[in-house]
Amino acid sequence: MMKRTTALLLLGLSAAGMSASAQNVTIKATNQPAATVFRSIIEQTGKNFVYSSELLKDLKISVKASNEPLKKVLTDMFRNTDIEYRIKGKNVILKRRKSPKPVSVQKYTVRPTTLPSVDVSKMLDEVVVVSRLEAPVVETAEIGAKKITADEVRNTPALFGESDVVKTIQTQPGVTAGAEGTAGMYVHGGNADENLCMLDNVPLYQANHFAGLFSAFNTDIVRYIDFFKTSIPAKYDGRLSSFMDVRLQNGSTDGHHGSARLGLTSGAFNLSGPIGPKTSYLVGLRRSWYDVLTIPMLAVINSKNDDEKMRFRYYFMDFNAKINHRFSPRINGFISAYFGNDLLKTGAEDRNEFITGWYENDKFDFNWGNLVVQAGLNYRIKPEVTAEFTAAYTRYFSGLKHDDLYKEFNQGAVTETRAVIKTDNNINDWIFRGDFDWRANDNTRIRFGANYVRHSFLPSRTSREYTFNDEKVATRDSTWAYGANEFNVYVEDDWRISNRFRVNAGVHASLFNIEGKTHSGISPRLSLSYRPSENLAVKAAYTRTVQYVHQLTQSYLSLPTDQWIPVTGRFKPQTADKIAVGAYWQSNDGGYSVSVEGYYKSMHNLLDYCDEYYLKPPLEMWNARLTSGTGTAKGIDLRIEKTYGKLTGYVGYSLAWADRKYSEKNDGRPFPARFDNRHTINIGVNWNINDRVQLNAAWTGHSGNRFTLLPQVYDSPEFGGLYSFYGDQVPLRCSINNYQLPFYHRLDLSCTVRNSRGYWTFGLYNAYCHLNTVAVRRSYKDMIIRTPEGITITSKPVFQKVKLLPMIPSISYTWQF
Amino acid sequence: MAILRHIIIISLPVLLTGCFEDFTPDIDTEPVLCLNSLITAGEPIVVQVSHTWLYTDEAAGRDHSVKDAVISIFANDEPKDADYLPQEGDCIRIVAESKTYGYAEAEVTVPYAVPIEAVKWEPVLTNILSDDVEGYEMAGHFLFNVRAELDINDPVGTEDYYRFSYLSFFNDKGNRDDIIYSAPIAEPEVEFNMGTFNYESEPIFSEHIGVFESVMGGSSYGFTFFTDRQFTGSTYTLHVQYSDCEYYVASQQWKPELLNCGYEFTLHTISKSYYDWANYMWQRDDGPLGDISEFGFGDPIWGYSNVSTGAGVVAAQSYLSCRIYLNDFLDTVLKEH
Repeated sequence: MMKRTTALLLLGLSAAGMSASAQNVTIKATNQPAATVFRSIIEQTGKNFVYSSELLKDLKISVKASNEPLKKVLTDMFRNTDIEYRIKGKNVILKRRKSPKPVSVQKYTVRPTTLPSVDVSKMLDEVVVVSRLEAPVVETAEIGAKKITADEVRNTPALFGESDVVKTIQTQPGVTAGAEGTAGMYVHGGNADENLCMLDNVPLYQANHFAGLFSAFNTDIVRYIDFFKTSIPAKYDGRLSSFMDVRLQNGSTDGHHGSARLGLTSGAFNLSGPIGPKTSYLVGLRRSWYDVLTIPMLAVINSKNDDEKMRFRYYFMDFNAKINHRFSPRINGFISAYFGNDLLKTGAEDRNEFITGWYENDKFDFNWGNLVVQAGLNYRIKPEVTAEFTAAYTRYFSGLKHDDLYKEFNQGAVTETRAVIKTDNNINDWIFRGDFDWRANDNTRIRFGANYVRHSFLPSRTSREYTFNDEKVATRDSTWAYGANEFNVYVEDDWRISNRFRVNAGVHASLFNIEGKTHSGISPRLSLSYRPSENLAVKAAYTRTVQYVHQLTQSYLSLPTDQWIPVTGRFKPQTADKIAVGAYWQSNDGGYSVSVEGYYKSMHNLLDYCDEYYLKPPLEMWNARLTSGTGTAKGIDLRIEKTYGKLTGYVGYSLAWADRKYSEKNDGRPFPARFDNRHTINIGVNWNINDRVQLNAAWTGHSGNRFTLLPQVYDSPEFGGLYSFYGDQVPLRCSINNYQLPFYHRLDLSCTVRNSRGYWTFGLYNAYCHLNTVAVRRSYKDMIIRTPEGITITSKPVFQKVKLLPMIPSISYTWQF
Repeated sequence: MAILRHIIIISLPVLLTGCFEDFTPDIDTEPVLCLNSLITAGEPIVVQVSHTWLYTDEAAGRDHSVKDAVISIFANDEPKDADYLPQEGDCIRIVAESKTYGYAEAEVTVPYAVPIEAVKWEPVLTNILSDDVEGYEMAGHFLFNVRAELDINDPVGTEDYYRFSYLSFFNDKGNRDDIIYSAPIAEPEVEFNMGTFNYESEPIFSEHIGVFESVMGGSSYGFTFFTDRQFTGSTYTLHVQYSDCEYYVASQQWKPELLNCGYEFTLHTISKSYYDWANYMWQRDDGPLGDISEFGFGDPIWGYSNVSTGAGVVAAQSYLSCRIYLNDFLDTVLKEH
């Protein structure tokens, strides 16, 4: 039997996770492409469609059903065709019947020119999943929108074998990763805090773990990710650069299923199934187990050192739970919860106890994470109108404590000093939202809605307590808190004017009230598409976004000391205006696609730390340490993709420029952004060798990040009390980001081997072990000078490239049941 | 920074897999003039004129002073001679020109001195190490703590910056002006050790430390600079504490002069440039930013400067001192024990 490597297509994974467990369907379509009809069914049922691309080629369907069981709708749809279907789990598998029935044109229209060419006898019985359902890029009006499946995430090799949502998105053109190995995201010249990460449409403020090394999403239960970087649906606003909505799976309705995974750094356990005929559940738990290694390791180290006992424990975890319930054929509801947490305990106990001596117990306890709870109803008001009502609570919290006990022994006298510093930093948002989706007719879809958010920001609540011989000698408490009210409304119309023209127009309006001051924002959105041919589309888009909150961070890593603050004082909401044009080509069978997008983004009222901000007193509001400015970003994104067949993959290339200009930074002169990576190339290949073995490779290369290098030094002033000493050198200021690190490149490999119970994943991060430069630093290098008089050791000042992360192998096993 | 040290130790397996590679950056940069001066009211002005150099310059240890520099000093816009003594309130401008390194200037106003108005202090005996020695009229060895409260009346309507310093004295001989540790003042038969200064006893010494720095382990140890931000135009009481102060005496005759020791407190009113310089040094050496930038995970911090070229600091100060005498306390302890 001849294998047709490109003949099979999986339709799956579209929107509306909320209603996905419903098995009744309401649909009205007249002479619509089969794929379009399927998408509507997928949205309502959560089922995937699996079929051969040849099977549906040019098939147009007209169907009308109002809240009817899925089986009945499918039976009606395929009754007079040579197509048969089978529902297996979450998939609806379509195949050609062994004895094709005559084609009727009474209800379904099939172009006779293509169907006779199909040699039915050569079709496979088996189904190979090779791609996903997402509206073909030539059919939509949007630019820079991407739906990423869980399979794509799992097939992207990652550090320590931890498949990662954000690291998959990093392979998209226009997205820069930031620091080596981290789940950073810098989209089209934006900053890290300009991306809205959502879990089932609810914002997560801290979307990663372990200083940003891993994102906060358990990929074992992720269903798909909607990612928007240019054409932003009017529903979304509040961030300048991108929007990422991670949709989780719904509970299984056809039996209990689960998986358990053990990897190099973490393990996960997931379970889902029905609770009666109308209810399903899903639970997922992921936890790192680094602490399991470090506890015995430290015990060994500490047992060999009586004078110093180190203390270290770190773990992160994610817990997800979700219950879906069908109240009636028209009403579905759900409740879900997410709790993500990082815990770090470190410190040391040092002692040197003699007649005179000392003892110190220095403890750091850090605890930070997110909590999200939401409940929602999906109500089908009319066959063409659905509504979603959601109430959600999202909390980011960070609690840090430093407890330093110091004792000094002097001939029997003991002096004890203790400093305890505690700080809390949290955000609590209550969200109430109503979203409506009205399919006015086959060519017009209108979405509209409103939401209210009550924000409670607590950027800092600090207490510092000092005791001296058990007597409290000083305390310093401070609390900075803000309450804010945010109200948003939006409307968006996706209108297919003709087979060639399509427009998506919308507007998002927002009000943000804080400290008696109300900021307003109007964010118009417009995307136009023109299809000169079936395979080709050219598009243009304009997007405006407004951001009312800003993250203060003093390092390139994601730390629990980072603070989210609302727009206050003299600053205005940040805004960005982006225009983009693009051209898109897709092959007839949809297996190949090419896209080229150009964009220009102008950002206003950006906030950053001013030069020498650390000299500004911390007692003052943080506003004193910030400066406002502008930024521009422009570039071209190219992506060539092969989406199904045994061999799939992509090539992405970005040519980009990004700069910043702040009144109190770099003397007011413009400077390149840190991640102003001129060229970025991403190449990914997935090879399904057979049903059991899959190989994945991903190569990434980009122009080095920018860095501020201080090449000159001068003599330190010889005053300042205790600090200065002769010969001390001080770096001279210079232009910001004046040095570009060398070109970065890396190849990651992974291999998945399936067996009857699950699959093994073997990974190789940085396969050819190219140590990339992640930073530069000033240092000294010892030099040995041999002279007739002897050997002299001296130090030579040098600049050094800091190179990290060599080849790192990984292994994990996932057991499915 | 303690926490970073612990984290680095734990992350050592990963860090050890990395490496450092020496390189010479290709950055177009020219040396410039550097001015350093601490102007003190009533004292001649001394200016160090040097030039910047490439960090990787192998001859970095050599003398960087600029011999051909022409220095001009202006007070309140009037040129002054080298023997000019600046006064409180004078606006001093220092200008230097060199054929090789160009031009540099800086300006600073000499602040007005602020006296320590009132001193309340209390010594507390903590341990007797040895007492009477046969045949000695004056003998003892004991430890004690000293706690003092010093009132500062901050001038109204000005932004003021301060530095507190102290020294111990014995018979009018001052110990070194060194607030890191105390060296004993030793005589043949007497020894006075000023003890350990407790920086945490006065919260204003850590007002420059933000939440981030605190949590990351930054402490005010060694830092006695502060501003009037929290008490502008009013009186503030500084709390100072010394622990493990030690006094030893062994004299066959009672000599009152051997009791003549104590502390001298000095309040320096300093220019903003002086305060910013000290703050920068703390951030570089004791704050987390220095470490973060050292590891490449944050922007590097550069030296604070108020000189037009960005190199050097021209600062100013005035100061007044007061003393507390331990004679009575020591006399009582020796007689009672």
